[in-house]
Amino acid sequence: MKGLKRMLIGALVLVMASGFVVAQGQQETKYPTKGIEVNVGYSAGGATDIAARLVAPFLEKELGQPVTVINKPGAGGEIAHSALAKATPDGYYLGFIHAPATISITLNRNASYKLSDFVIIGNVIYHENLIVATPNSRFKTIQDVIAEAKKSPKSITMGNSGAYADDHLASLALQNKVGIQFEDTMFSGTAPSLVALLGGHIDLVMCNVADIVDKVRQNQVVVLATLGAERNPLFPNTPTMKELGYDVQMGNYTTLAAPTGTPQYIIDKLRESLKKVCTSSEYIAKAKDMGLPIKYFSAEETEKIYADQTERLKKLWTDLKLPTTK
Amino acid sequence: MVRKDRLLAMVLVAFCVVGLLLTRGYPKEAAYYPRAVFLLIIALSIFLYVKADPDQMVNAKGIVCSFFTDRKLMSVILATLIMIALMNYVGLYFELPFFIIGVMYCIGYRNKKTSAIIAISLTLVIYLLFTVLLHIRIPLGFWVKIF
Amino acid sequence: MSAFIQGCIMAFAPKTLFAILIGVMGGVIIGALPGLSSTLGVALLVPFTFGLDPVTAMGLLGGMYCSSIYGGSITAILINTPGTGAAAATVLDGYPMAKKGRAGKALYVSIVSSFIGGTFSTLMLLFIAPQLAKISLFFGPPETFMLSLFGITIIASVSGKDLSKGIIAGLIGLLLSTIGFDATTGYPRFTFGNINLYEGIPLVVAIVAFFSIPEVLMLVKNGSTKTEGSQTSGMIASDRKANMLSLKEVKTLIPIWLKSAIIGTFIGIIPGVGTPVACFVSYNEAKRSSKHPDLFGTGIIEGVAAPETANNAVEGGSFVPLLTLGIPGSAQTAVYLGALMILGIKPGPELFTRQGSLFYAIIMGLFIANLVMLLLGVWGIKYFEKLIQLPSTIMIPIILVFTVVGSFAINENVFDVFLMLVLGIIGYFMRLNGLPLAATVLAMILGPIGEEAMIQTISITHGQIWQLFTRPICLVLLVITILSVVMTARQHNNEKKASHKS
Repeated sequence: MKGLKRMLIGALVLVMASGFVVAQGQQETKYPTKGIEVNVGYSAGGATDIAARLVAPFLEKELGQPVTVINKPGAGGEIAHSALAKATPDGYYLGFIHAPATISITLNRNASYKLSDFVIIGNVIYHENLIVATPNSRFKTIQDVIAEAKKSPKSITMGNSGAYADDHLASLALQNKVGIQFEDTMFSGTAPSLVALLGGHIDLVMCNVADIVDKVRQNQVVVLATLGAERNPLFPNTPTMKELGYDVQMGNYTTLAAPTGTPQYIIDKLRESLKKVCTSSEYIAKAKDMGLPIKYFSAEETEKIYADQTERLKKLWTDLKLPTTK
Repeated sequence: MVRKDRLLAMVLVAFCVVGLLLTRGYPKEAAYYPRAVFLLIIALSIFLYVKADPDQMVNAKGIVCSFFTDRKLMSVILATLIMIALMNYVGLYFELPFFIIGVMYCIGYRNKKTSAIIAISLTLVIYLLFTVLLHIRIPLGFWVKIF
Repeated sequence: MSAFIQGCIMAFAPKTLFAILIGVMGGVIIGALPGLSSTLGVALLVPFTFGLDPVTAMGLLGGMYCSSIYGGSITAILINTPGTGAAAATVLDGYPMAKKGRAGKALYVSIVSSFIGGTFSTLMLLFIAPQLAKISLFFGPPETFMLSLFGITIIASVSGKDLSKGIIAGLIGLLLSTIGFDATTGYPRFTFGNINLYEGIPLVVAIVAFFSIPEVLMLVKNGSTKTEGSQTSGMIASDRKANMLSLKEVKTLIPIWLKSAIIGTFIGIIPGVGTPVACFVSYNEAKRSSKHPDLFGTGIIEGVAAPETANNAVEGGSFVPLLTLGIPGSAQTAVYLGALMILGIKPGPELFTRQGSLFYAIIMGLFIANLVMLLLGVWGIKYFEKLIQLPSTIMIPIILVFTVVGSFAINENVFDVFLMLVLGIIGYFMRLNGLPLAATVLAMILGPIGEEAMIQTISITHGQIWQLFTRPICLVLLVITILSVVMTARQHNNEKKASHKS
């Protein structure tokens, strides 16, 4: 009888244990079970912050758990990226990374993260860089600019949003490809550079689509050329540098990412949810309403883009001997 | 014993020399501005040294000692440092009451009951203001893992 | 005209009025708390605007902006700690007034001046916004550089008796402002590898560190920093009549109000310069044109009226580039821009022409906010005054707690708190040695603006800086700077002669 009792107890324990394992297994594949935090490397009100706050409520509805945007500004985004790289990869801490900014930081200095610390979920925003001038500028087309730049190097002032920020890099890439030299004037952000342009203090500004869409509409500035792969439907008459024979493609990508090590099923779920959100009609309508340049790329496409951008940037760094503080 | 302003001048010059050494590795354009400022401070310090008021004499060692032996001052600074260091680990709301009571004790306030009341009410006010009203995420330390 | 009437109707809607009230109440608190800046206050309210209509949202934010600039002066006057950068110059005379037992009067002058400044600039916004916008565009890097140069010479007027120490304090401020990424090369200066320092010392941290911590440490050491004779409750008793301004006082203040309001509005129009600069410039101007400049800094109402008028006047001015060009003129208006975009409004020339009623509604909202702020502020004086009666043993932990949590709240970063403590201890030693911290703070504000403008100027003129002198505004500013230096030097000499005679 003792033996039977033992067997019964053993069987009971086995059943309980397997039930526990099964329950664990079920718990394991249930995601999310609590709120998710998404960090943004810039302060409230900035472009990335607005984009994040556009995506968050839609993602929240899709995943069924609160999605909170956290601002972690500082060091040009590095603080947020660093926090993302070091976060516990349990799927409850995500963040937005950027091309070229996130990449260029690693080239420019000893960054506290590596690109391999991140797993890409999907790209949310893309807007190419473009060159703007005032309507009464002496430059009516980009060819005018190139011609004058070739005649007198470093005579044309090109405003940008900061030393080695994406606009400056775009300008450098352009100068490198075309073989001309601008006088790059640094500002702390696109807004001051546009003020200087409107006041006639500088000749041109390199910025992004979202910065000037509205100003073009109100005829405050005109776009001379874009640095996209193809013409932007918002500016049908503006050529791309590529079609003019100079294959320079620079733009700003805002991408949702998770720390490396996050379980694959969570990554898959996030990728799937993001795709659903970014292709839904309400999301697209709301973005249009807010004037945000949304452009969804799937994880595979985005990974290719980042790899390509990394190559181009590395080449730019060596070609132009850009500073590396290591 | 040295004139008070002379001590200040010497400290400033030492600080600037260290600063100039720090700028040695910097790229030219980045270094111009700070170096110029350091040199200006050194120049003004020399001026200060010369015109130092002889009526204000201080004992250099005495000042340093009196700063570190001033119990009240040291304890307040130390308490604040500890609070900052532990903030991410034990959480702000946990350490606040201790901090408040500790500081009040150190500066001489011995009435335990009132100290406790102030500590609790101040912590409550901070909680209502920053967490409830402003939604600022205050560090909660290890308590987060328990809830 | 009909757009204007429509705008007024929208602004006076009960929902909007309520929003303005909430904004004002919240603004006074956030402004008063050291560490919470008006920018943070506006940013914190933005999520609340999501479900609201544009006018109500703007009313909420407007109330917050407006009163948070005033709120900073409350703590500036009572405990020598500006709650926001805008009140940095208010400590110069506000706190001495409180020490002499005239806190209520200082608070009264502050609220009235704030109201006048805000209303004046909003009137300017209403009537001549497009013309003012043109002026803002004229200000390019060379002009901004000349302006910051002028700003630096103001250090002399906040230096008190010892000019050389004032200059040293200012230079230290310039050094502190170099910490972080350099504007041309992007090289991180003096950061010791700590990424938290890459963007430099946040201004709010510096203000909290240099004003509150030394004050607290001195309270700890000395028990009280009040002058004799002000402890008696009889003198502090809120005698409403005594706080209000006499006709004679109003007469002295009128020219100051007018000039400071103009200075504030003008500086508000120039993108990127900011509120603290306006305060110091108007303080300097009031001192320069005063019959008793040596009394500035000892606690006189002119010294409170000037900066307080200017800082609220900046508000209306900073809306000019935002509403007419779609470009934010200050950090607060940058947050505004984000909020407007989320609401689907695109400020710019079109706002004026196509959505006139919205434009007017926003402006009316600002008027109402100023009025509500005045009423609330005056009513609150009798309560604020009582705060100064708290014994130092209670003040010390309260100030410490608020500065710690406040400086954390800026970036939700514990490092900032640590930085604040370190800077605070340095500030304590500076104060013991007679180095005026107002000069340091002023330099920290102007340093980055000036250095960046200088680099841009060199870039724009391709190295030929003499071109600066071909630009009219630069020449005007140069003349003003030289005049200011000469007159201050003369005043200084007169003071010296006077003190030698006696």
